[in-house]
Amino acid sequence: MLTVEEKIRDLFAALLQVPADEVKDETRPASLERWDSMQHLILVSGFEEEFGLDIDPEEAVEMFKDFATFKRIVIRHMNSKS
Amino acid sequence: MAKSVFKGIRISGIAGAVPKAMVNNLTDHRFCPEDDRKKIVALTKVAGYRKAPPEMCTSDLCQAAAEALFSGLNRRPEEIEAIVFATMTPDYRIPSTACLLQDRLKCRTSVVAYDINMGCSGFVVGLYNACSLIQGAGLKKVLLLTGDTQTKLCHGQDKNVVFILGDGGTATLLEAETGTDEIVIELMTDGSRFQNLYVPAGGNRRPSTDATREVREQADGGIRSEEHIYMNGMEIFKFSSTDVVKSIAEFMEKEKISPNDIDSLFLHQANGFMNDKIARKLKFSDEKVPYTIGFYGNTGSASIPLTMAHHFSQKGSAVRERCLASGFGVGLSWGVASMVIDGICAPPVLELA
Repeated sequence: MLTVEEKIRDLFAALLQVPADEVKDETRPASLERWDSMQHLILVSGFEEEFGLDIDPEEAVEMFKDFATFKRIVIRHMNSKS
Repeated sequence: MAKSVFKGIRISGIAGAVPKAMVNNLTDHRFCPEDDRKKIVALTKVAGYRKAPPEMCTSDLCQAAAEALFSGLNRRPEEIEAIVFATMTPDYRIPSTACLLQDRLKCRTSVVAYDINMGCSGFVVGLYNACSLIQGAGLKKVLLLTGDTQTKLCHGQDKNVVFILGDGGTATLLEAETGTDEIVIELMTDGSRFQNLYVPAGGNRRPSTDATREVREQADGGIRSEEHIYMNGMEIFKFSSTDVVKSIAEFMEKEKISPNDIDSLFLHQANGFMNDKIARKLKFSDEKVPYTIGFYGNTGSASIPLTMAHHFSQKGSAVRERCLASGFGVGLSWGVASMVIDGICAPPVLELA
């Protein structure tokens, strides 16, 4: 049974089409070639669709910092839904 | 704050023209993997757009739109007293393309004609100029031309822009008429952020050299030269979804209007994901936000009037709608306008081969 954090990492990696083990908390757009601005919006849109979230644009911008921030905001939205 | 209220002006007609040649985002752009192309189309909603052939300029599209408008409204070119042309893609660096259009449209030499170097805010900035010429200078008929052939500025393998930017031109006729509803326009500018959306070289600040013309992979992963258009996607997303949303919300508050009072919100057709976010934040329902981005893409200064032309050509000439429009982008420059369309000539959008 996957934890929430693992599910987020796996979806993130699947949407970006990179191996899941390349995605770590400290992973940043500058350190992951596939994570550019266009792919970032595809990620945000993909998470919204998969988990039924509505992520605010300011948060979407904040999520472009590193994977830890991305994950934290997704979890916050998931918790506020449940 | 550059907010102005204009009275005694009618927007009599809006016409648009696009190149006939289509780009299909799913089947073209083979440099990008198929799965990425599908995801980009789903995100941006741009299934395709129109691309001008090398010999076709923005002014050709605007000229065709203006001629269709004259014909549809039964107006003669000699009646026009001013031509305001907003574009980032003029025919020449010198002179203003508006001067050439005076001749090509067969307007009188007594006409006032000038260009405005603006992109995505070009329609609202142009509208502000056109209204000022009527209310301030006492002119009776002003032709506002807005358009861009941005595909000429893009490198064909820069995926930040090549899936989105398309070509189009429009013509809007504004006429002095008593008893019409007010047109209210507010404009904003922040030049400190100009480098988020610009062509870095080829102008006077950084003249063209072999190095600036060299196509290579840039720091952001995009393939282009320094003489192609560059967009910092996240900064523009941030600008559009924060500054622009705030400005529209404040404008509505000052004007005491809510989404219930507005029939149509015409947003610059930036990209589908971003525009959905903007509309949702402003609490506009989907049916009040017309889109043409799916088939015309982001056409710069043409995008708002092209969407209006498409919308009103389907609604018919007897329509009455209270509209809000917002253009935002290059500059950074942005603006909000409210207007009432009360009977309008909007011929079907033309296709130019």
